[in-house]
Amino acid sequence: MNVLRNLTRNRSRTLLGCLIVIFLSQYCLQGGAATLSITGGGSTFAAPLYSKWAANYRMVDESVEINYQPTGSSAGVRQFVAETTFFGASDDPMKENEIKQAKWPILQIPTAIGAVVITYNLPSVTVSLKMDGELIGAIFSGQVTQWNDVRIQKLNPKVALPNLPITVAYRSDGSGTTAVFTEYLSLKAKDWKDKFGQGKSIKFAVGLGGKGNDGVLGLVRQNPGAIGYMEMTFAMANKLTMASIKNNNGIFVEPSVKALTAAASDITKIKDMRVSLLGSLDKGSYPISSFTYILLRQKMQKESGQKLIGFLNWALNQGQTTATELHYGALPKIFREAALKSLSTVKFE
Amino acid sequence: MFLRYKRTCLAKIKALDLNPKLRNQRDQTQSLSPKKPKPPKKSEIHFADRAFYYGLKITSWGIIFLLLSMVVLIFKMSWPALHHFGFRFFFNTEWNSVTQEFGALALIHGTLFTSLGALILAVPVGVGVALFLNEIAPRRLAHALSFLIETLAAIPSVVYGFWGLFVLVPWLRQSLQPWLVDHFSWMPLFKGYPLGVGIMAASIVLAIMIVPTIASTCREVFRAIPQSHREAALALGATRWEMICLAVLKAGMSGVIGGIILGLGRALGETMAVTMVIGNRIELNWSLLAPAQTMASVLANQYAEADSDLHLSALTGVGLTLFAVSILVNGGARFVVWRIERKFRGAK
Amino acid sequence: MNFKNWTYLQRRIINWMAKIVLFLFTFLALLPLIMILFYVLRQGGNVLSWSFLTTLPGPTGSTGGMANSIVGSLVMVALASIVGIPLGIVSGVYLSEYGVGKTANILRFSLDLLTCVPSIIVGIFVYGIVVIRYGFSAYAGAFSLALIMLPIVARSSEEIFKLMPGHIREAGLALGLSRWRVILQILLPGCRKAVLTAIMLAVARIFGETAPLLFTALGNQFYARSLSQPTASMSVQIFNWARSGFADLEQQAWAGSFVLVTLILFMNLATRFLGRVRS
Repeated sequence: MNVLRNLTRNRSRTLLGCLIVIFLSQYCLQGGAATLSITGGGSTFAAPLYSKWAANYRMVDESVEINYQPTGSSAGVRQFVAETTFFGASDDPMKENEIKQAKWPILQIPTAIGAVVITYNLPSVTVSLKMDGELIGAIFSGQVTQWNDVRIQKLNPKVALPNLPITVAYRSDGSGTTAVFTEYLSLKAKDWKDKFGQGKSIKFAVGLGGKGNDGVLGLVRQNPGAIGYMEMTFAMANKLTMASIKNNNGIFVEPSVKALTAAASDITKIKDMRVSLLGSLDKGSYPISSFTYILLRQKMQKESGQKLIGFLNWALNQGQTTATELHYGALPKIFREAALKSLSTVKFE
Repeated sequence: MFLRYKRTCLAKIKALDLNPKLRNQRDQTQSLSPKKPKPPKKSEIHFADRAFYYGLKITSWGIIFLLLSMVVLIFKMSWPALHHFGFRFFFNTEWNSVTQEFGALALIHGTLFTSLGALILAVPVGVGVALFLNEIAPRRLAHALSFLIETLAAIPSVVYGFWGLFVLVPWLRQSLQPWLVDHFSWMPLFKGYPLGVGIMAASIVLAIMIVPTIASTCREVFRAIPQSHREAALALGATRWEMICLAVLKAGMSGVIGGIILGLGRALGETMAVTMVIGNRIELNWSLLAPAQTMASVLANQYAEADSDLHLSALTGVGLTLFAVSILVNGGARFVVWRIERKFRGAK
Repeated sequence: MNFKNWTYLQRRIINWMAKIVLFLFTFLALLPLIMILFYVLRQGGNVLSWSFLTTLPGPTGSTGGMANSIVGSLVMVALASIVGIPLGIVSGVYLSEYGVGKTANILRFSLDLLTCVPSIIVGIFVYGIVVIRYGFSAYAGAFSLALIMLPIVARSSEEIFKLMPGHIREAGLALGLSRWRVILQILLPGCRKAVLTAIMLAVARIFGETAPLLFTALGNQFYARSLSQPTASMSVQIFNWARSGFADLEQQAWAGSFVLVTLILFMNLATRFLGRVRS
């Protein structure tokens, strides 16, 4: 008993203890039962959009917070399957064998269209350089090492290219952006498929790795002569110059929301929502575009599940204008309808 | 130990001879065996005391168990990869998740290379700081400076990395590295483009971070050297620097080595600062200008997002390797420091 | 070294040169500190404002504050302290007061091992044992911080208790106190300031930890609503801002570093002050 009395007699220690207790209890109470927090993570490609949606949705429904953590698409799939996050996000939809790893059926809902743009940091070149798949493949495989290489000059005869070494910036983490980009290169660049293959994290022959779309953005911004691939928003927000890419009709298209939306415009029938946009034949389409997906369990825990479905319904309807503001392409009507229909199949338990 | 304390306290009380009960007990033990007093029976030790003792002991075993489970878990998680690749895992430079081929050699090389670079930069500086503070600077100045050096150790690694990325790397890219490339590109160490990020940047940041470790270990060891050694050297007419060479450095050499190994241990496991400035490229490269990847930084980059079980397991295998390496290095350091301390305790 | 063949003047010159070189080394070691503090103060001071400390971070790519990560860091550090400090002191007491025998040696060895485990490995362990089952949470983050804190507190408190002269314990025992009361009422209060210093240093250390939080506490855009939610922390937030690539956010990372460094330096100064009071 003496010990206890001694403890309480010691004022400074008691004060400290009380402070900690008050602080912690306040912190626990503050949450209360009123607000529900739902955690998801994955794609950094779509992170500006999802975190903006999450912030805006607070004004629609105060009782829920969507905590979206941009950890990369691979992490999105991995953590979702491991049940450490409530929903996942990936630009590279899960393949059949990946779905089998999960113990429960999975829904993959497209939410918007994004473009993988090629940006570069060349202080003396302010125009959009023209590039085709062959050239991009040559640059990213280390065959073209100087900015004034003839192969770049041939496509851009009027541009004065500097004598600067090319620094390639790529994603060091598993990424849907890389998956889309390498899928494009596998289609368009000779030898790419055999040498490097396609996937969420491939082994690049040259360059620097950055974590996340933002990491690549940082590398490109900080290194004169750097070239990298990233989602359009990241380049737009930082006013980086983006390359115009030759599309399937042989036209060089500068990335824009219009060109993105065009890439999905010629799809009239949906068999599977996991459709690649790389084969688009529309004249104005930007060639490296992709849907980005939210991954959900078909059977969800009721309370959080209903809130999440509410959020996604809102995102697919009202949220689409935010998407275009952030330089994503809004979902085409048929995809939106299919996505909403697929959301309605979710069961709660 | 516990019983010995009880006994020493009994001995003290004996002198006072106030407690009749204890006096009796003493008489009893003395009559039974005069040389070796019988330890008191267990029931005689206060119950609360015993409870307290066992409480402490159980907690201790809890902590030991925790560490054990850490080792076991990491080993278990990395077993699939180690089993799949065998010893090849440690000698393969390929790290490719498309072909599912994972080898740790490039990462081990990156870790050792950056740490070695950091040591080469940090050792003279760290030892110099220790000598300056202990042997040359006036006490007040030494006091203030040692506080600053300790502050250097307190700055979080993420701030180091951030500073490195935005201040050090641009400077390297614009000033130091172009110069090195111009003049020394015939050496394999300085081949390549001045990128800024890479092994050199990582080594410099690591060096800054381990200087305080080396300095403080060296200071402790130098302090353990008896003052009389220094006085002897000075009395024979040595200058201060000669005294340092003769009395301090020679005697404290193994302490310096211990400090170096402790610094190495810190450099090996450093994660955040390295991740931010090393360029994150898994490739075995001998140029200081090239980007690379260390064992710790690959974990920070890929651990949460491994896309297959084998990948995750291989990453954990890298973690296990790092674990083993840092334990070996630290064990070595502790052994060296322990030996020198013993040596001088004898001398005193 | 052979000084025999040199004249006195040569030796004096060498002596002075050596002194200057050693001074330069010290200056060189402190240069990064000066530069880091300078940059953090200048760049961070520009951006730092009251609203930075009290608002939530913006969506990816837009500016905001770090209120949630300050709260998150404080909560996780507090939680880690609640576990780590008592456990550390308990093992410190065990090692210094009952420090012979098999258990003590194994414990000492384990604590030494734990000290040299890189913090990212602690992160992996906690991921494998907690996060896999219960998801990302403040608990997981705090657990990993506690694991980092534990050996520091334990070993330094052991040293402190050992410095306590034996006759003080014996005086207590001679007065008829039992051992547990000697420890709790004489040993601990007597070493209070020194132990507090050690604790403060350990807390300052875990405040800046980033690597183990990356995949235990993850992060959060909002305040974490409970301890079982992913939680933002200052160091991870700074890391995310620093590598974000957006110029505005890099400025925010400076401001965040300013807050973190100030906090840690303040703690270090406080321990220095406590130490002076003691001596």
